Amino acid sequence: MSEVIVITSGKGGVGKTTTTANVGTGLAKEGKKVVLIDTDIGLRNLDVVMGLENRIVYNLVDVVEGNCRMKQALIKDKKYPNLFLLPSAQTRDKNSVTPEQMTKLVEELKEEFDYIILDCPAGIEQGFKNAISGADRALIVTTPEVSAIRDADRIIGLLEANEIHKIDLVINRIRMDMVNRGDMLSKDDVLDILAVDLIGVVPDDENIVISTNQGEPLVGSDAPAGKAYANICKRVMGEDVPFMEITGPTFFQKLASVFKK
Amino acid sequence: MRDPVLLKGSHFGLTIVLDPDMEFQALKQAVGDKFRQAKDFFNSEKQIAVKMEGRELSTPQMEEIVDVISENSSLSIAYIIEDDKFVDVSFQEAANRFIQLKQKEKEENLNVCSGQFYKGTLRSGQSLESDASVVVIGDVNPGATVTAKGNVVILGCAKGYIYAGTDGDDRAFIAALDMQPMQVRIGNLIARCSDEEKEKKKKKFRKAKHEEQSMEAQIAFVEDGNIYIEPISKALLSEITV
Repeated sequence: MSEVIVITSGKGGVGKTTTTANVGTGLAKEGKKVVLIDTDIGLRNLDVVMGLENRIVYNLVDVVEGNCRMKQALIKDKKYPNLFLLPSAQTRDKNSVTPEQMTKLVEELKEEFDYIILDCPAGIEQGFKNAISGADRALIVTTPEVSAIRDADRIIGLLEANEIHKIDLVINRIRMDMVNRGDMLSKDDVLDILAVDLIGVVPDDENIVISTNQGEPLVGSDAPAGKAYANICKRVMGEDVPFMEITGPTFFQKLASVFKK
Repeated sequence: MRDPVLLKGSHFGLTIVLDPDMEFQALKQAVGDKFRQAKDFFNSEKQIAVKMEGRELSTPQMEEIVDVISENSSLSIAYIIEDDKFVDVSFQEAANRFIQLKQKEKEENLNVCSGQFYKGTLRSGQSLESDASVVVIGDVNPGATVTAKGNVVILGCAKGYIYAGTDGDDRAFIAALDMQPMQVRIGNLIARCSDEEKEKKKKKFRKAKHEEQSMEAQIAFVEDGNIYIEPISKALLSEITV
C-alpha cells in the first residue's frame, strides 16, 4: 500500500526541502521504495540538497507535457538504489502544471513506490494547490516563531478544506536553551495553537547547514538533527517511537565553543 | 322562508347579508333580533370591521343599522366596508402586509435569540458567518474571523477577530473561556488588543512555564459607547439581555 505525503509549511525558509530530503532518505534507508517530487517549479532546490543537480536531464514539466517517459525523468540516488527524485523545471512557472495533471502523475507513481513525497513550494497559490492535489497525508513543517506558526495554521485549514485529514507536525530548529530562558515558544506552546498530532521535533543544528551544502542528507547520523529525522521516519511508517529529550548545549560544550572562537 | 339577515364571518371581520326586498324598518328589527340571539357568540369587546351586502343602503340607513348592532351587542364597529371589490382587495392586501410585517419582526427576534453551533478549531484565514448567534466549541486562532448578527460565545481561546451584532446591535455580547482577541467589534464599535498587553505576551513564554496561567472566562459588552471586557460574574450576567 503506497502513501502520498506532501511536506508543506506556508512560510518559506522553515525547512521543507531539508525535511523532504531527510525523511525521503531515511525511509529509503529503512528499505522502502521512495520517490521525491520537487513541485517548486521555477525555484527548484531539492536536487541541490540531494546532491543530484548534475544528473538532471528531464523534469516534472517534461513528464506532464509528454516530452519524455516517467522512467527517463526519475533520477536514482547516489547511495540508495531504491530512492528516486523527480526534479522540477527551472525555466518554467507554477502554472505549467494543473492539479489534475499532478493527481494523474502521482497515481502513476503509486503503482511502483511505497512512499511518494511531495516537496511543496511556499505560499498558498497554484504551486501549493498542485502539490496537495494527489496527497493522502501531510507533514507540516514549522519553526517556533509566531509568523511560521500563523502560516502553518492557515495551511492546516486549507488542507482540511481539501479533505486531507491526516496531518502531522514537525517542529524544526528548536533551541532548548532559548526555550528554557523563555525567549522561544516551546513544543507545547506550538501544539497549543495548532492542535494537530506531533510527529517530530528537530533541534537547531549546524550540521544541517553543512550537510545541505554538501548535498548529503544527514538522517541517521549521530548529529542531533540526524537522530530526530530518523525518528520521524519511523513514526511515518507507523512505529511508536518515544520523543527524544532535546537538551541545550551543556556547560562544557559552551566552554569549548568559547575557546574555539 | 329565507332569513332576511345573514351573518357571515370572513377573514377580516363580519359580513352582514341583508334581504334586498324587505321594508327597512322591519329589516332593522331583524338585525336587532339577530344580534340579540347571537349575543353569546359576539360577547367580546373586540373592534371589528363590518361589511354590508345584498342591499343598497343610504348613509343614514347604514348609521341606523350600526346603532342597532351596538345596542344589541358588545361589539364595537371600527370600520364599515362597502360592497366594493376594489376596497375588498386593497383591504386584504393591507391586512396581509401587516401580517407579514409581524411575522418578519418575529423572525428577526428569533434570529438573535436562536443560534448555531460550530465544532472545531477556526484557523487563520477561515471565517464563520451567521445571521443568528454563534457558539464555537473550539479555538478561534489568530487570523480567523467570527461574524454574527447576534451574540458570540467561544468555548475555547478567542485569539482572532470576533464581530457580534453586525447589524449595528450594540446589545450583543461576546463571551470566551480565554479572551485574547486581535480585535473585537460589537455593533458599530471596534476595540483592539492593547499594545501593552502585547508587551506582556512577549514574556509570556517563560511565565506559562512557571505559573500555570489561570484561564478566566471573560465577556465583552458595550456600555455608554465603550466596549468593556470583564471577567464573567453573576452581577454582569444579570445585566445581559438576550
